[in-house]
Amino acid sequence: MTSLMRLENATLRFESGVRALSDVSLSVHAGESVLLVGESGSGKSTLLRALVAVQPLDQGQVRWQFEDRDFDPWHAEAALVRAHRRHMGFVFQDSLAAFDPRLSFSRSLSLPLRAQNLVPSSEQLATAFRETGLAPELLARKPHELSGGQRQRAALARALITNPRVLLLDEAVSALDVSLRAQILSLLLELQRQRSMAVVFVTHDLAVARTLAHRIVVMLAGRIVENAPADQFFAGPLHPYAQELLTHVLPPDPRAAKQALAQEPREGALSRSGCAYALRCPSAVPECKVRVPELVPRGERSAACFLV
Amino acid sequence: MSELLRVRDLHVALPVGARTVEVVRGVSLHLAKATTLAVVGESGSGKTMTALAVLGLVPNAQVTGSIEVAGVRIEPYSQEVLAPLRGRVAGMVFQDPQSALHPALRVGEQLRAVVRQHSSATKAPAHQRCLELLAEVGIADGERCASAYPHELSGGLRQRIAIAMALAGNPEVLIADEPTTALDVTVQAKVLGLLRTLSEQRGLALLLISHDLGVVAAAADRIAVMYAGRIVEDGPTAQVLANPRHPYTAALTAAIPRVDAAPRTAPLAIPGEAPLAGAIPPGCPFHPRCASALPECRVSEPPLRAISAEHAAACVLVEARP
Repeated sequence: MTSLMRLENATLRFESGVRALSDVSLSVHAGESVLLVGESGSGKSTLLRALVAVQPLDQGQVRWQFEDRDFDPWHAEAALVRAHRRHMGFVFQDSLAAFDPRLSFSRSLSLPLRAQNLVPSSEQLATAFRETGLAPELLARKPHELSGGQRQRAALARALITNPRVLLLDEAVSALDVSLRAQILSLLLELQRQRSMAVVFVTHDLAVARTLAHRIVVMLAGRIVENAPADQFFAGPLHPYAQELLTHVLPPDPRAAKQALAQEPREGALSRSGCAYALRCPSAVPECKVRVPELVPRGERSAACFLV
Repeated sequence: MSELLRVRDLHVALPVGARTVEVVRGVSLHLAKATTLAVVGESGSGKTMTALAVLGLVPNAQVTGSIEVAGVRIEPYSQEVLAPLRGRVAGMVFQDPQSALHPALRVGEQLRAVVRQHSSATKAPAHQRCLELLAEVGIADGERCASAYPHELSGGLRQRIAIAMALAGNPEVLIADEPTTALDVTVQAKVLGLLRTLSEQRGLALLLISHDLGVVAAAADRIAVMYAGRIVEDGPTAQVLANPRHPYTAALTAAIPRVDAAPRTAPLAIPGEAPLAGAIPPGCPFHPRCASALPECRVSEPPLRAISAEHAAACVLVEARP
């Protein structure tokens, strides 16, 4: 499989001293959907920003290969990088903040094309809106004039207008109601199948991840602790942290939900040395508090745990 | 069982420009000691407005109907009557603990202010009471927490502090509006566990507002499903979720992504969007989105009909079912 985007040993420390990414390597292949899951502050969104080269790294590199050339966007000509940005579309959590409130949707949807020196036709804009289930008449409206669900569809339409090969979404359905979330998830699956587009989706919701994922990548304290095909992950994750995450998902079934809630969440802060999960892990051995386990492949998946 | 919260035929209308728009249209609820009632529904269904009306926190609205909290009849119109009662008969916890706390004041100062509002305690006993409240919400190192600013604490700790504040007036009813929506799953589990313990130990009646049916399944004894300002189904959690009788409840449960679902299969979306207050279609408000709608559904809005002693649904199809 062709890798379209990849991070190699990416490491980044914020000015506050927080290690946002530690030795993270990840490839995104054509047509696959990679779901990044983990708790707040685990580095999921930073990883996304690093992949699209808006977040510089302290060490390691990012590589793009959408066409013949395989290159590091931080060390390539600006024109080449800009031309390659058309291969990526973005959708964020807050659809109101994602649009300039002064611009109509037809102006907003034109911007990614104009950035590529292309002149959008009104038919092209109308098609983009229709494809995401919006009436083309709504193109004349401004962001505050649409509902949250309609705006998120418009955000998707804007992300898709350059016909990207990778769609990157950061908690794109978290702010939506149950029904709108189901509509957007269904639309995403359909669009991904039609366009054989890769999807990188950041979420803290494992049920959403189940809906979309070919592959699940679990992050904790700036590291990938598990990377597995979705089927294998949901059949039983390898890393104790991933197991804990899955245990606390509450299904809409009282008996199962009450059982899940009865599982006492593990207490303890993240460890500053060794494995970040060492102080919360029921299976931790003394070594876990001293040495950071590497992400070790095991069949199609990999996990960063000494006990695996 | 003693009822701590009784709401009868609550209507809330808000001024929008020159007209008024009814956002709650005849809601009746009852909630007993040490039980949890979840109010579920999509944005704009009126669930938060119902909760705010119970506390008299909709000052510009026209509120009618009767509200009784812990035996105290609340006249929804009079802030003079409500202000001293607020926090004593019912406390409230909001979704975002970050914005519920003052960013520039230490946690201890904020909590002490609430404690002193509810008692004549001087500074030292009030501080002691703060530490007791923090311990009750599972914060072991109360002194350190009290001397911290909100931004220095995690989301889970901030929500525990917000719960401690809501408990400072020893209310008998606690209203929690999406209390775990902003939290990670493991933290969510801890906060829901805490709410359950408080309900059991203090005998608190908990009104839980949520759009997350997983949270509701785990935490609630009963569910009231709201749509377009009304309750369309009401009953014990297990019955409502396992055997929903209103098509909206059924559609809502089918629209939830699940970890035990088939991989890469989207949940079934409900077509269209929930109507906005002020633009509610005639007849049953759900009929334009309902797969089972009959011609009569366009004409009149069905009232809640009892299915069993505890379970009711507002749908014409209810009687036709066995």
